[in-house]
Amino acid sequence: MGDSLLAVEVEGLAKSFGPKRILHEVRFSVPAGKLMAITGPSGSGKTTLLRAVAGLEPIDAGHIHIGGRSVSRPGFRVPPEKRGIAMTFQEGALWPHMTAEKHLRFVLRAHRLSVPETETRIRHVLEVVDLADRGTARPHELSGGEQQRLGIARALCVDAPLLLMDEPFAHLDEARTVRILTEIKERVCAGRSTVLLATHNETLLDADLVSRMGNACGNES
Amino acid sequence: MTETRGFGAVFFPLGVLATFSIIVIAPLAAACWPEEGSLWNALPTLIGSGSTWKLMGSSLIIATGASLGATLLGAPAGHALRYVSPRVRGILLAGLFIPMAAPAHVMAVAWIELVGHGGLLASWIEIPFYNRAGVIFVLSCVYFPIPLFATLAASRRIPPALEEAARLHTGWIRAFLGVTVPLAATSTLAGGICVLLLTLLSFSIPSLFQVPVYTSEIYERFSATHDAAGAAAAGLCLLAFVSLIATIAVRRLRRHMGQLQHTPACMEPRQASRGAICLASTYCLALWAFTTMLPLLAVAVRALPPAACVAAWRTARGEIMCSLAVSVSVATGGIVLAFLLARIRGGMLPLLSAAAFCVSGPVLGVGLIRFWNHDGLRGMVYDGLAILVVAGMARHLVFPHLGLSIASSQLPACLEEAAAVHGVSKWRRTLCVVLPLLAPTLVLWWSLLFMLAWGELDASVLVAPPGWTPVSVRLFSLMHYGPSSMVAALSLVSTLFALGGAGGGFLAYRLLRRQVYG
Repeated sequence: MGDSLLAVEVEGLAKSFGPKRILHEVRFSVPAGKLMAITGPSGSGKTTLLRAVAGLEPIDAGHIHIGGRSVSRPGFRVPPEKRGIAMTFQEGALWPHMTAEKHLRFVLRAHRLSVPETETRIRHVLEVVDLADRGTARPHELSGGEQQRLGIARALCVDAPLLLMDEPFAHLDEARTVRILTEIKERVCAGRSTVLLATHNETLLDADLVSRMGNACGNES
Repeated sequence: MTETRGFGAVFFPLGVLATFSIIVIAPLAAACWPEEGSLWNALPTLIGSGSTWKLMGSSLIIATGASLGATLLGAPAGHALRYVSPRVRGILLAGLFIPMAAPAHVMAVAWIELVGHGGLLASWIEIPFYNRAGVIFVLSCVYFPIPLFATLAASRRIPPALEEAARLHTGWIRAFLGVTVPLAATSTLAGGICVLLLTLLSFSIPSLFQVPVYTSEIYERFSATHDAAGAAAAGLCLLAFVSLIATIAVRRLRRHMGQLQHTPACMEPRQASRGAICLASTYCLALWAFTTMLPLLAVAVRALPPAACVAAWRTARGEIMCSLAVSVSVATGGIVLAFLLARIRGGMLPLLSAAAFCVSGPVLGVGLIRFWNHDGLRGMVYDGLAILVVAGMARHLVFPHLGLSIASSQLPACLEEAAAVHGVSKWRRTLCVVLPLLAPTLVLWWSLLFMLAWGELDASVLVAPPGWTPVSVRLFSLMHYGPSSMVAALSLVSTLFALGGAGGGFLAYRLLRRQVYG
């Protein structure tokens, strides 16, 4: 994916839940290999926007392109598993019956990696998020911060061209946040990933682009 | 919403729907439309007949009485169990569940053996059982666990602070009656209405006590006079009546159900006096001894000496094996179908499953005969064990179907979404995320379905083919000659199998739940 190509392009996006309008006329584009921060107060639609880009929510109007391919428009949606993305969830979304290592192995198997490469990646990513000694623990045996880091590890291990992160550092201390951010930025600089990151706090990020979402359901970039 | 859908994504729901149609919808339709026009001719005659209303009145009196009786027995136990220590609570709950786990007709036999004519206590107290009061009494003793569990579930959701706030101003009795009981009342009432509906549809106990009710009339119409149209018309009236009650109940109760919806499931009361704990434990133990141990003890005594049990086992080994094969097949097939139906989330499908149950066992039996009793492949099913499996699945599918639909909808959607966004296909998501998370619930429903299939009589009594008689049908036939040691021994064996299935399933559920959720 070259720099000239847009990794994500959102045009005139609108989304309502019943009478409540969550997103209205949202438009932005992110070139490949850039980190874009999406900021805004609670309830401004950051999570809904990321879910729409991931293909987890149908949209009412507008269109979404990923890597130049149309993936969402009213009445049409490419399923999430066919979009080439990875995502961290605000609520963790960890599978209670799997250990930390199994979380990563399960996801990597879907990407048909060889067994040695799978194991190498699991070791590397668990080290990055500082969970190398917690590989056999299940989610209920992990602390809140460890659970959040496992969610990040799951998203980082697949090397997806587009990484969506929903408040990924909310429960992490500054040292760990910086360490994980460094890893993410290395990927971005190497052109391996484009990142859309929803956050309340943009001070640590040093993002290439910032999109601010207001309560009026629109956005400014 | 147009999505890029694969071959499997299109044909898989169709396959599930086709299976559901063959097992549930086809016999239901065959029962309700026996012959062109004949149903519509039978319906006015049925509605115009005085005996119809008399029988419906009798059924309603029995159902109301049993519902009141079961609620009066079960609701206090539901409240009492909250104050008992968790370990003792588990044991008491298992004991108090036995009357529902054992087949209903076996519990009827047990009560007859205890206080009926020639029963164990007949020399001291002989109750004239063969009347409405007897049926109400036995049905109350069989179904009281429903209001019990409903009350316990609601009372455990009451935040202790609500009772403590009341205790600042009044004594514990007034706090209990003024705060705890009203907060759990909606759930208790829902349990009572469930009993009302189940007893309205009950066939085996009134039939054993020779008390004419609406469902036994349906059975008689077909088995004695082969009046399929009359039986179908009567079944449709019953379905309409049950649906009306259920709809009114749901609409009225839903308004009040929300008040405990947002509190956590398990809230232990902070403090209970030793006297309260003692009173609660004594009531639960007394209820268990009276409704469960006494009648089953009577059956055990009647089945003595042990040689009689061995003889019963030898005589009825074929029937026991038949029941075992049918129950395992019904439970396994039913769970697989219910899981797949829950995955495709058809809006009207649970209603159709419920209709197959609410139309009553005998009418469903008539439908099964009309649909499967043909030459060719259908004839092969009808002439063998498979028809009993189909009958059990059609009749009881509603329970796992509703249960798994609810469990499935309560799984956090983000767990499946997290797999989807990382490229995991729908099949692997189902197999590796949804299935393991639902595994404890699946095992629990498997054991409940096994238990229901083991006691299934209402439809099986009509469709059991020659050479394939389940224990329930054999017992039902033997009971027409009155109680005997053979009946007692078979009842005991039957109870042990039903309890074994239910108990094993429950233990597996606890084990799996711990493994999956920690």
